[in-house]
Amino acid sequence: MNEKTLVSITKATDDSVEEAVNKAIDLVNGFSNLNGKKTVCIKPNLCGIKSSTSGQTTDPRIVEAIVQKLNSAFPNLKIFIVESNNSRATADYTFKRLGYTDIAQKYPNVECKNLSEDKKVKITLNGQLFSNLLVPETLLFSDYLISVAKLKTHMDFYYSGVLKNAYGFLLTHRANYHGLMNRALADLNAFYKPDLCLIDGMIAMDGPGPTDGFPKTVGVIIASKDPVAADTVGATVIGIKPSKVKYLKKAEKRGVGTSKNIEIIGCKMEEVQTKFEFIPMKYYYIGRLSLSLQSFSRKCANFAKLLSMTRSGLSMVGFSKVSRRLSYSELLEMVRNTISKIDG
Amino acid sequence: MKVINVGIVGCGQIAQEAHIPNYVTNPKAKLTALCDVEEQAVRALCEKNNVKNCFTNYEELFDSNLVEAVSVCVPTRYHSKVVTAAAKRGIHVLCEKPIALNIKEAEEILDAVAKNNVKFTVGYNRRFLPNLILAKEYLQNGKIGKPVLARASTVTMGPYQPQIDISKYKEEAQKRVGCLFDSGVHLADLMIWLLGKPSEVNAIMSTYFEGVTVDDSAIMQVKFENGALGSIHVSWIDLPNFKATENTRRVEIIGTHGLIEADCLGPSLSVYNRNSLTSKIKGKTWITPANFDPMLPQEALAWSFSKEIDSFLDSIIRNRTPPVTGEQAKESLRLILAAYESYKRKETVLMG
Repeated sequence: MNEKTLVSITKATDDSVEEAVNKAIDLVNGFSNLNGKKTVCIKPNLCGIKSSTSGQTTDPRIVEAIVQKLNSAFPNLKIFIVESNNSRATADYTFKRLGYTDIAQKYPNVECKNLSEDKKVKITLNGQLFSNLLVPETLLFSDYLISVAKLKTHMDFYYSGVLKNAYGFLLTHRANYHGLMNRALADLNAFYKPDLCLIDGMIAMDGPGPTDGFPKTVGVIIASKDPVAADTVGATVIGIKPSKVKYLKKAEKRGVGTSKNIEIIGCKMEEVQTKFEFIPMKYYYIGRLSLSLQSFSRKCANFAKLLSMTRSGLSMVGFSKVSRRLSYSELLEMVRNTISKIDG
Repeated sequence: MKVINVGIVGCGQIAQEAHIPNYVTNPKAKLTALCDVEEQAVRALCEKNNVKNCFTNYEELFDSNLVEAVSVCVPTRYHSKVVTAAAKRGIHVLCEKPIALNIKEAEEILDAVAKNNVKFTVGYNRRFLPNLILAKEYLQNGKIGKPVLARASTVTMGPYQPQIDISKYKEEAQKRVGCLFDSGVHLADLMIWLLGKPSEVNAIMSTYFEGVTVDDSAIMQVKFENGALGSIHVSWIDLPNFKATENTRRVEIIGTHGLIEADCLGPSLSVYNRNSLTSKIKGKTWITPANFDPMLPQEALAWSFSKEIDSFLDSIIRNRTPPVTGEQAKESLRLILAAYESYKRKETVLMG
């Protein structure tokens, strides 16, 4: 297939946010699949309570511009701005503090939804990492998902953008899964694949991102219908080789999107490309070691769980039930899943 | 916490598998008496479950003042007599399904429970399955649009159980009236609960087991007042492998925007809406309410019985209407009887 994957780069300043958002979306024909849809979820990156000018969170003006554009083209939509609680505060507090509640008050069809408090169901995922996933009903029954990520460095994974924004959909003990990030993001993005992706690169974050880095003005908005393509361009813009970002590869392999055959439209890469500071490599490797240990300890915990299950089986508590109903291949699958997978 | 003294009349399979264990383990109840015409069997059960009072005559049990509530698990043809006798003495009743043999008897029951102001419910345990509760909620919230087609099926061994002597199959089958009456009524109840009032029905029936004189396989088709069409497939066939036969016990509802498919023995359901995230997922999305761990069908069934009994006790303690009402049970019986009428007359029966 020779069709190019479109990624737009649009320059944006404080005075031209709305114009830039409209252009970024139009260039990739971003609303082409919205006909007949009733509900749209917009997911900004609100991983903390610092304002967008700190480089940590998505600029609410971009989200408002998307709302305005949606409302002018599809006036009957119900729009949810969705986020889950972060390590600092509840999503409700974060919405209020960062100006998202004001958007919801301004537009009657817009509602801020704290996913951590939403009614949830458990979905049998059988993913690379998650065997089950806790899914908020607002997302499950939403018709169109727009991810509005923030352009940032990430101390552990080099880069944070659209794919990493999906980490906010994980509603259980997020901090425990950092060591398993690559597989977690592949699963999350395969399930919650955004229909349209935007990256807020107006004021981005470099250094020790994604929460404690330093603001850096890049002045761009990146848009694509393909999350892998958007992140490939996003990483390149801040001078990070996409091949270094392992979760990008994993997600691509999983069919979430493509990093090849990308056509950049709007601005040229050379016009906007910059070089972000990254933390000294020795600190990066310390972080990686910590994550490897976390991953190893998770495997140990799963192995311990398997041993415990085996003990129960051997002591005949429930084993007779299981052995009658499962074939050997199913039992092997159960063992494999117990060691390698977790509930999300 | 108030504890209800409970008795059970009729100590056959359903009492032993569903009622006795759940009263014994529920802190809201104290199982104080068991009653069955088989004296030896009831004595053995009393001993096994540490129940002090054994009866072979339900009138004596009801007169003993030992119980405030009772589970009626006798064959359906005795429901009317036993339930009205209990109600007249002010005893609350959980009656096994179907409510009665015919509408006249069902109305006698409803009159008695209303006059004596006792709580009355019927054992449609599947309504307590978490997946079916979720299915109803999704239907009501329009998650699959307007319901158009529905199908419910179940294959259950009914009277053809390995532990029953094969020479007694005919007698056992007759006790149960027929597979549509005995097993299909669960699905009729679910269909009405999910889709509303039926307006017309027709049915075909058959008997595959030689010598048995009632239906042991049946298909009924129902039109509902909201325009939805439903079919119910039911048969008494012993296929004990739950995994291999999971497709035989499904409720499936197709709406204008998607479909819901649920295992009649829970706890998961699959939902698809042509626009939403569910439409992008490859294959089926199996959903379980967040507070449930995936369970085996047998575990889900056990759960439904425990919730049924808990809700009955709760309705007494909190003076609430039970989730399954006598009127609803009468409606599911009416639908099943109309199906038999249709088969007899070889024509569609309109339900006014």
